[in-house]
Amino acid sequence: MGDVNLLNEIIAMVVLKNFKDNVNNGSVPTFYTDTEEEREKIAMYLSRITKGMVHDLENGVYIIVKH
Amino acid sequence: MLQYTSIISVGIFMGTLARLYLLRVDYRQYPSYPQGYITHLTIGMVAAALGAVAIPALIEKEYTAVTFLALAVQQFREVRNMERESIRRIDETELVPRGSAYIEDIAKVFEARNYVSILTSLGTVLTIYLTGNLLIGIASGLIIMFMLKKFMDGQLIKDIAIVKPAKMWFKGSILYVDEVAIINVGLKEAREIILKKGIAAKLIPKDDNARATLSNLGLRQAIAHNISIQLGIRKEEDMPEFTPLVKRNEENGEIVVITVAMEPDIECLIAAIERVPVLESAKRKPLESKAGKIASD
Repeated sequence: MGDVNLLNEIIAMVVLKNFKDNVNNGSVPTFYTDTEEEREKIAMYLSRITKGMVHDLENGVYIIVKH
Repeated sequence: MLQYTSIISVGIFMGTLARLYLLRVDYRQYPSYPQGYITHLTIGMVAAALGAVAIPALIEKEYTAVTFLALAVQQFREVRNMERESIRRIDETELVPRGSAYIEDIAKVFEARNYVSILTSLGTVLTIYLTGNLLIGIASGLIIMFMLKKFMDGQLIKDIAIVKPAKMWFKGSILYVDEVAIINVGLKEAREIILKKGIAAKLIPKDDNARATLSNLGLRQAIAHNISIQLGIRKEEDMPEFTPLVKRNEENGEIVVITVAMEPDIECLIAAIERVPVLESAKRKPLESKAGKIASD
C-alpha cells in the first residue's frame, strides 16, 4: 500500500458545536460534538485510528496531526 | 627462524581474538545476536588472515600481495553497507527508531572493527618476525588490541553534559519541562498519564562544543531510542502522545528529555542518558575555530 504523506498536516478537527464559528471548514474532515466528553472520546478514537496526535487549540477546537 | 605457518597462525589467532573481544562489548547495539556473531567472527578471521600474511609475503618479495589489502578494504566497506541496510530495515519496526545518524555510527564502528583485526594480526606477525619469539608477539598483539579499543572508545553524554532531574507541568494543554515548552497534548486522559508516569531530565552542556553537539537531531533521536530501550516505554503504535521527546531550550542550548516509561525511575533515566554515546557525526567543535572562540566570551 502506498503511503499518502500527511505528515505535519491537520488530518481532522473535532469541534464543540458552540465554537463552530472558530473554524471555517476547508478540506479537513470536521466532527462537531455536543459535549466536552463526547469531544474527548471522538478525538481519542480518531487519534488511535489515524495514529495521529490530538492537539488542543484551547478555543473549543481539537486538531489531529500526524508527526 | 620460526616457520611462516606458525607465525601466520598466531597472527590469525590474535586478530580473531581482537574481533571477539570487540564483539563482546557491543551487545546492546547488536541487532541479531547469534547469527550476527558468527558472521562477524568469520569476517574478522578473514581480516586477521589478510593481516597475518602481509609481512611474510613482503619478505618473500611477493609485493603484489599488498593489493590484497586493498581488496580487503573494499570488502569491509561492504560490511558497513550490510550493517547499515540491516539496521535500517529493523529500525522501521521500532516504536522509537534509532534514526539515521545513530545507524550510520553503528555501521562505521562495525567496519572499523575489522581494521582492528587486521592491525592486530599484522602487528603480532611483525613482532614475531623481528624478535623471533612467539610470546613477545602475542603480548604485543594484546597491547595493540587494548590500545585500539581504548582509541575507539568514544565520548559518552556524561563527558559533555551534566544530567539532572527536571520538573514537568502543564500550562493548559502545553506540556513544559522546567521552562521549556515541549508539546501540546490535547487529550485529558493522556495529560493525566504523563503527569503520573512521566519522568523528565535536563542536560546542561559543559561548554560551547557540547552545546553545539547536543543540538544535533540525530544525537537527540539516539537519546530517545536508548532511553526507550532501557527503561521500557508506555506506548503503542497508535499513541503518539507517549513518545519520548528530546527538545532544546533555544535560550541557552540546554536539552530536556521527557519519557513515559514502564519503569518511572528518575535515577535510571539519568543513568541511561549519561551512557548514550556521542555520535561521531554529531560532534561539533566551534571552540576550535577563531570565530567560535571569540563568540564564546
